[in-house]
Amino acid sequence: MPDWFTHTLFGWITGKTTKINIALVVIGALIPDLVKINLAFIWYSIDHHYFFEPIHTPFGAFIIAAIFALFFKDSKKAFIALGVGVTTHFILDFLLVHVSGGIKFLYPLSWGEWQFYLIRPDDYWITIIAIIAALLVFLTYYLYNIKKNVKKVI
Amino acid sequence: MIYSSLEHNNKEFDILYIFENYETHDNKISFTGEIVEINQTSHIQTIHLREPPYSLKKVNVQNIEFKDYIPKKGDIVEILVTEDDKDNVIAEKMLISERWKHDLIFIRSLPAIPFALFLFFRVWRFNKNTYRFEKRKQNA
Repeated sequence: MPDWFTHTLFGWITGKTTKINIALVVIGALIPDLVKINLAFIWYSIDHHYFFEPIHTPFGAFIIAAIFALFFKDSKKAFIALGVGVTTHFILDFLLVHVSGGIKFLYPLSWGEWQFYLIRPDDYWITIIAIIAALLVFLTYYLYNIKKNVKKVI
Repeated sequence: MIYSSLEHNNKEFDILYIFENYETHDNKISFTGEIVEINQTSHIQTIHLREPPYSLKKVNVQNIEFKDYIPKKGDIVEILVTEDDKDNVIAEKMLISERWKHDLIFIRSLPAIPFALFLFFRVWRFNKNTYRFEKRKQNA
C-alpha cells in the first residue's frame, strides 16, 4: 500500500480537478484501507483468517461506500464521489510491487489477483511526488482565482 | 475462473494450514515476516511470521542473489517460498524492506487522518435528529 497520505493527496487532486466533492473523494480514497483493522489482530497475534480481506477489494469497498452514502441526503451523488475516491485508491495500489498476488479486481466472481509491479510499497518518492503534484494543483487554482477576481474588479 | 468461497478454501489454503499439512499440496506460498536471525554461512534466515500462525520459520535463501541490498536483522520481508518438507522452506523471491523504510509508511500515514477529517468536517456536519450529514451553511 502506498501510505494514507499519498492516497488522500491523490484523492484531493482528483476531487479538485474533476470538481467532485473533494471531502467525499478523499474519504472514499481511504475506505479500502479500513482493512487495516487487521493490524490490531496481528499486533495481538490473533488468528483472524483474512476475515477483513474483502474490504480491500473493489466489491467490498464499494459496498462500504454505498452504506456510508446512505448518511447523506443526496446519497447517489455522495456514492459517486466516494466511488471516485475508492477508484483512485485501487489505481495507486495496482501499481505496487509484491512477490505474488495483487488486487482481487473481480472478487467475488473470481479470486484472481492482478498487479502492475511498478512501485515498491516502502518507496517514499511516491509521497514526495504526490505532495509536489498537490502543491502545483493548489497553486494553479489559487492563481487562477486571483486572476479571475482581478478581472471582476476591473 | 468462477468458483465459490467454499471452493476457494478447498483450493487455496492459508499458510497456517499449509505449514501443518505440507505433504498434501505443492503450492507456492507467500508470506510477510520480520527477520530475527541471519546465518550467512548456511544461507538460512529465521523469519517471524506477521500472519497466522505468527511463529518462527527458517527459510533457505541460497537461490537468491542479493545485489543491491544485503538483508539485516529487523528488516521486513515479503517472501515467496516452496516447501520441500516440514522444516525446509526454500525462498524463490524476496522483497526486502529496510526496517526504517517500513516504519516510515505508518508515520507518513498519520497526517492523512487529521487532513481527511478536516476536509470532511469543514464541509459536512452530522445532524443528530435526521442521522444524516448536512452541508454546513457557508457551503450550502
